[in-house]
Amino acid sequence: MKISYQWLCELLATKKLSVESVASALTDAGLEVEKVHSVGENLGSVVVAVVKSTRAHPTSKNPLSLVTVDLGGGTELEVVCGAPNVPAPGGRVLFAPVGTTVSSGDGKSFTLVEKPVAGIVSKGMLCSEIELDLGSDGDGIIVIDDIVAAGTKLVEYLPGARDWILEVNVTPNRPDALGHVGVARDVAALMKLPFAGVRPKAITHLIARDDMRVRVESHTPACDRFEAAVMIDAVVKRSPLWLRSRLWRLGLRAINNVVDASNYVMLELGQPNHTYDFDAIAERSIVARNAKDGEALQTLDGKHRTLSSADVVIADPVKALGLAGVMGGEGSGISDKTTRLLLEAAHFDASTVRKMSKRHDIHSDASHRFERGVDPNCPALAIARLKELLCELTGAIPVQADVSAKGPVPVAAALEVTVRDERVSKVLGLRIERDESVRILKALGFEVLAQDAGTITVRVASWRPDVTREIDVIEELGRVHGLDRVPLAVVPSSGARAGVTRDFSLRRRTREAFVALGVDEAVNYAFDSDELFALVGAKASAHIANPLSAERAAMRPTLVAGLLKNASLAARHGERVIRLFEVGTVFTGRNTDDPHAEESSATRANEGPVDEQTRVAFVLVGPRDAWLADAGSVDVLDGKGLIESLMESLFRTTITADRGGEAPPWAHRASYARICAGETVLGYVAELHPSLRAPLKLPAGTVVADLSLAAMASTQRALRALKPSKLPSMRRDVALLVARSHPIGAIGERLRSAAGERCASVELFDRYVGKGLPDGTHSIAFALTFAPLEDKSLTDVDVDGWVKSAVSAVVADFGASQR
Amino acid sequence: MRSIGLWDAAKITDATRFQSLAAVVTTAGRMTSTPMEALDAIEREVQDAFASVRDEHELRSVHAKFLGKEGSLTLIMRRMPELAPAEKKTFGQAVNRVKTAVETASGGAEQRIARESLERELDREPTDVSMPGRRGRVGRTHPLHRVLYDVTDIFVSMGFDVAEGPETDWETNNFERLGFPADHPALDMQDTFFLKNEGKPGPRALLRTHTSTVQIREMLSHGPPVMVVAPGTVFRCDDDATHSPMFSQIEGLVVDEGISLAHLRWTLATFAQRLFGKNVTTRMRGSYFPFTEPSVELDASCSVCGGSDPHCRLCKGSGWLEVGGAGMVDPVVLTNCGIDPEKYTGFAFGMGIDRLAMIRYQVPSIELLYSNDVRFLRSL
Repeated sequence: MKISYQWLCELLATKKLSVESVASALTDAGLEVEKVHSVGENLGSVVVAVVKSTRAHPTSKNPLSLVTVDLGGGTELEVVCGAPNVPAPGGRVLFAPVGTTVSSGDGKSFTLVEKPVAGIVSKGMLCSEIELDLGSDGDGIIVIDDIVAAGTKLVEYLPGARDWILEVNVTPNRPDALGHVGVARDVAALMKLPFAGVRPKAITHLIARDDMRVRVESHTPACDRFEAAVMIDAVVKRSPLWLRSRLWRLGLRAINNVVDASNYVMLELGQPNHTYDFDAIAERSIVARNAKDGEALQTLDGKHRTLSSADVVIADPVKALGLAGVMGGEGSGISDKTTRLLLEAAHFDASTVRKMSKRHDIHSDASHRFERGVDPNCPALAIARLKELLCELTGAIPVQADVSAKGPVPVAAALEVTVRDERVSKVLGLRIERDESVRILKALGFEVLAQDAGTITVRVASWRPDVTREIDVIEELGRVHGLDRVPLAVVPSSGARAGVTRDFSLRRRTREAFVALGVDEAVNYAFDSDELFALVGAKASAHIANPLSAERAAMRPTLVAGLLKNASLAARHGERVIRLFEVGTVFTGRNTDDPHAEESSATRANEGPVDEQTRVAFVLVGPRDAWLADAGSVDVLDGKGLIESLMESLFRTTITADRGGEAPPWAHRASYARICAGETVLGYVAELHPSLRAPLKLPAGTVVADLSLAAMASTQRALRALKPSKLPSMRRDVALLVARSHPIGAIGERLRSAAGERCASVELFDRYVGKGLPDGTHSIAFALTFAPLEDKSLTDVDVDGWVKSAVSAVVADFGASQR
Repeated sequence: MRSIGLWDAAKITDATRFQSLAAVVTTAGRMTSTPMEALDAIEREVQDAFASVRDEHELRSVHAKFLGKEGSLTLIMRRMPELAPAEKKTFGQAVNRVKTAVETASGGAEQRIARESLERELDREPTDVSMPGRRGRVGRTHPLHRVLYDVTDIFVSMGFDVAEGPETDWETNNFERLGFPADHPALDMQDTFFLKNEGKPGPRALLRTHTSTVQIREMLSHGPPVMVVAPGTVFRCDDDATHSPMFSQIEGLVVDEGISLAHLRWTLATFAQRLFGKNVTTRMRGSYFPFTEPSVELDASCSVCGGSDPHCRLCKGSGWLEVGGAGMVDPVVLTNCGIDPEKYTGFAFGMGIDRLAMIRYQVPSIELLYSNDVRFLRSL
């Protein structure tokens, strides 16, 4: 909401407030001033000039004229002017001397310099609204109708020309601040100034015209106040500069004096209102009613709308005139020929207007206000104020035939609320003296009905729909007294424990473990396209009903797709080494339980409408860590190793890998592993399926893994410390020639199990395939380490015996031979 | 191929030198003189013989030339019979003196050799330490999580526990129980992604627009006291230069007897000081959220310029940084969660992690945070 500082000062009848103090007070009190625009600071040198004579430019082919103007104090000047509307001698215009900065209308500005225009030097210019940034009219220069002496400064003639526009972030609870009066009332309360509101002058000059009496009725509960008035003898024309410039500065375009007055009242009081051409209303009758299903209306934006019974219209007996509280219709508005006016101001139900605004996708100044809740008592005031303005601006005369209607539902009686002093202190942590409380409440327009030792009872102002309870009044006291006065108090440590937790610290530790192992963390959106998921053979089971785009409509059923997309992007950027992981939520199915079931809240606090799981995934691309040597590209064993390191660092768990289960769709069938810890399946790691390499532009050897964090964590066991022996352990190496069809892991396991309980580890340390070996075989070498039992030394005889048993076992089981 | 290094060259020259050394000793042992004269000759050779020794091997040889089985001193002892009995004692003492001299010289040479060997070791060709270090790759935690964890740690250190809930939720938990008025523009403050209901009736499922859902679940799961922060991912259908449809948030909730706005202020002021620095001050101003009453915004003084720089990159000249929105939990919310608002009061606050990350790392646009561009991730 744009608020004019000058207008606030006019309403508060003071010139003593600084812009900064007003902005800061409003911000502190919840009407955040996001920006302050200083406007018209360049207009100090602009003066009113009186035209003396005009002659055509002697040489220019363009329609330029040379205008001699009187600048007061006996100064006359000849100015080159291109405007078509230079007034006859005696007319008043605005003159900007050389040195003035003027606007070029496209957001830029320039400073006037003395330079020849078509050969003739001009020491200034006669200005249009655009050039002075006072309006939208750039077709001709500003002509002033008021009688003003030549040489009068513009800022003296029109003090509002120099202004500061406050951009106020009006929160949805404060419809009253959508008018200058509401903001002025807050300023008055905050800065302890008197404020009486707007009080239109009583109009004494009335004409009695029974033939112009209108019938005004509301036939819908959505309209509980409906006020109207009629005026005659209006002259529709351009508004005076003060009005045009004020509307312009506040973001509205001036139209004509009738429409401008209507808008002015809305900006002043926050009450939307409408002016009709009286002669366009059939049978001198307007009603507020629900629309008929299928009823047609062309709104002022030119669009043809089909209405339903959920819509409310303002209508005469023949046709709908407008969508109530949203937008007027074509055909009944003010034209140049209009002389008789019907003024209307009503109060509409906020929720009804909001639904209409949503349904027809119209967000207007009126709907913006009505859906937040306009003061139900304002329509009558708005009509009075509008009449006052129209008398002044159009010369129209009110007809003594004012009518008003209340809807079928009576307007709710103003609320009475009792506030306990003790409760104020309890909530705010701050004591507010009774005098101060009373001052604040009165300044906000609340009527203090009763006071006793510990309470105040007030009648809430009708323009504050957000204040209905004690707590709401406490907020008012707090924000006007000054929330910044609230002291700091240490929170007493309650010892409360969270009842609702998932795996916050587990995810955190997993991320940290990955990072320590050299992998970078990705964070992808929780949604992407069905196509992307289909690429890796996954199908989303939850979709967004109102996605930003189809590319972001499916809730991810896997992390793998997003990571591959990230890796693909990195590869396109020329990254050789890509190491990415993500720990995040996937959405795997819909939960159909009724969330309202009574017992549900406590027991199912962790459940939502969708089955959510935390997954752990990574993708590895490119060479291993090394320099001055080619360490080769990563393969599935690097992936397995990463999982091993991860599981060891997180849970001290040993994993196994096999080719069991069903390979994921993204896995290369010759190079994938199911990862288990004991009986628990953790997930899969694999080389990327060859058919996915081309669409993703990823190289062969790309490694992908997808694991369940819950399964990983379930493998954690309590650890028991080993008491280390002081005696040395012994190592024996065993080289075997064996068929490659036997998994090395199984051979190692057999060695281990046959080597006796002193065997602490069996590690593969060499593998040779190739020349000199029978086809289908390889030579593999294991290091067997034996650890002594506490203080009993190992002997060569014992160890050699154990190794012999181990070798015999693999010779027997796998047909291996020792080398 | 093995190269001939400095050591090999040294051995070659030493071999030549050693031959001449042996010759001296032999000459001294000649039987042409008396034993005493021969002993004198040996004594004269001792210092020179050890002075030219270059390594342990030579040392052992030279030592043996004097005192070995065939050493000159050993041999000269055998000439004792040639002496008159009166001379024997003197000769014996002289031999012992020379023996001591040999041992002393040998010990000195041994120390000298060790010293020279250490010097040679230290004088080897220096390693070019400008070559890259041999190392493993170091990964990067996502900037959002770094900030999220820092922020969470601060609250945990202040006594908050961490609560979490699902990222999808029911409209009831996201709006209704929080006291959002139906058909009210307040709903526009949080543009919501709804899930397709897949043909099922009942309350609408949505992507949570804030982690207040966790606060609701927390209060429903157990009564006061409550003191939790709820960090997590939230969603709003907004996508522009400053909004991402998914972002991270942390919200806090304290419900107990006697909790007031002053406790809220202490909490957020202490948080701001721990995050931005001890010198920041705070201001509390009015605001509006449907689930708190009164509602406030808490600002911290700019940690970069303190309000002194009208062109400050951080505060844009305002002198203040928004820490977060907050307020006293609306009594309706407490009632909706089965808590008596007359007995208990509470405060809640919320803040965006993305904005804090953008401030800390000077991230130029929010979309970068979710780009997963490796170059971006590894720049931090």
